[in-house]
Amino acid sequence: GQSEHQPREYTLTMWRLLILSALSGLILGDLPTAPFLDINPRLAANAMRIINLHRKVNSLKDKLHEAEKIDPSGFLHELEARVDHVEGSHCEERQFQCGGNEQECVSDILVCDGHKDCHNGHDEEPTVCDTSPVKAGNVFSGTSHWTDCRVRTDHPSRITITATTRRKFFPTRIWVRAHFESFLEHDGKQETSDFNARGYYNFANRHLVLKPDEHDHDHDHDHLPVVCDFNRGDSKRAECHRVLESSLHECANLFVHLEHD
Amino acid sequence: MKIVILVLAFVAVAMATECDNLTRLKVKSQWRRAYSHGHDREDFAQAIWRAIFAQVPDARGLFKRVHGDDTSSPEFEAHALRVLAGFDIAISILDQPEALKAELDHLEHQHDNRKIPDNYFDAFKTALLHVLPAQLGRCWDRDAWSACFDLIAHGVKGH
Repeated sequence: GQSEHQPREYTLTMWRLLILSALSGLILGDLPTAPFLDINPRLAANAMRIINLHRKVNSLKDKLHEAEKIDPSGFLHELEARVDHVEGSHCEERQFQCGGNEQECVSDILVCDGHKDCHNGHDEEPTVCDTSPVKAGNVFSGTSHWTDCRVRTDHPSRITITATTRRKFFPTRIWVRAHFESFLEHDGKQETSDFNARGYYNFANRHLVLKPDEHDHDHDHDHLPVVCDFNRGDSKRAECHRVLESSLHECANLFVHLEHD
Repeated sequence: MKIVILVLAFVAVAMATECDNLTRLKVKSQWRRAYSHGHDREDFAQAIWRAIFAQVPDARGLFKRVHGDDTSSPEFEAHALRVLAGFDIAISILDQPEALKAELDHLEHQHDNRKIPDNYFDAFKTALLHVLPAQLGRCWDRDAWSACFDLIAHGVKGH
């Protein structure tokens, strides 16, 4: 703290001296009879300019802080992701589109496995093989809205990624463990319904699948799997659904976002 | 204490899945879904062999004749599809014991003299047990696959 403050105080004193001399320069500049205030008027004018510049720099700083709040590249990514989704690809299910002008499709089990399978190498690019959506410790939260399968009013839910494994010999999937919590209101009382889940993350479609862990000793068959798509152009937001495992029929939707960075 | 261990052992045996008739039907239908067709089948085979060679790189030596050094070469692609075709035959007749016996004897005959260490079969199993869930996505039974794979591998190894 000390060492940081000292130069600042020093500059402040400098400013004060400059202001004083500038003012005196203005007031007394035309009095040739003041020997101790013999200040060069050009220096005084420069001091004024410096003060002005200082003010402008400060206001620029404020503007920079404001600019940080709106991220144009984030906007563009989101828009691109949404348009891509609406456009669709001519690839079949479980296939990854290599992008570019060639519109090549490769099977999603070859994406991010260390071998370039697309001719343009898109299936091994860092942006595609980004592991950040499923880092252990990530907490995603949002509101569950049930449309089918269960009679429940809207309630908050939380997904916590507890552990991940990526096998060296088969890196194309990240095997994920997670904890899913729902905060329900039952007869005016707060209730938490939670379960441990296992699943995987698929790089090709940025898709996360979590289903209740059958090996868990207090496994309850009442819980429904959750599937998420990181389809908003970043790793912080995902569109999720609670589904029936056998048919993938959608029972509830929840839009989740990362709780912290 | 001994009794507890014994009981636990019994429970473990009772819970371990065997490749019984129902399990065989389950494996058959899940294989049908995973094995797919066309280009996807080539990629499925490719994924399995990459996962095998990543575990036991020395195994490439056994596949010199079919260009094992480059799994993307047409020669190796052909070989990979041929292996899966053999596996497909074995799985599709899991519920016909006599035909299965004949096919496994045939596969054993193709593999003897090649001096394949058991751990290569283990690598094949591990590869399959990872690629299959990735290919199927959901509704797959690891224990069922483990049991029925062991049965087939046992037949091919001949011991």
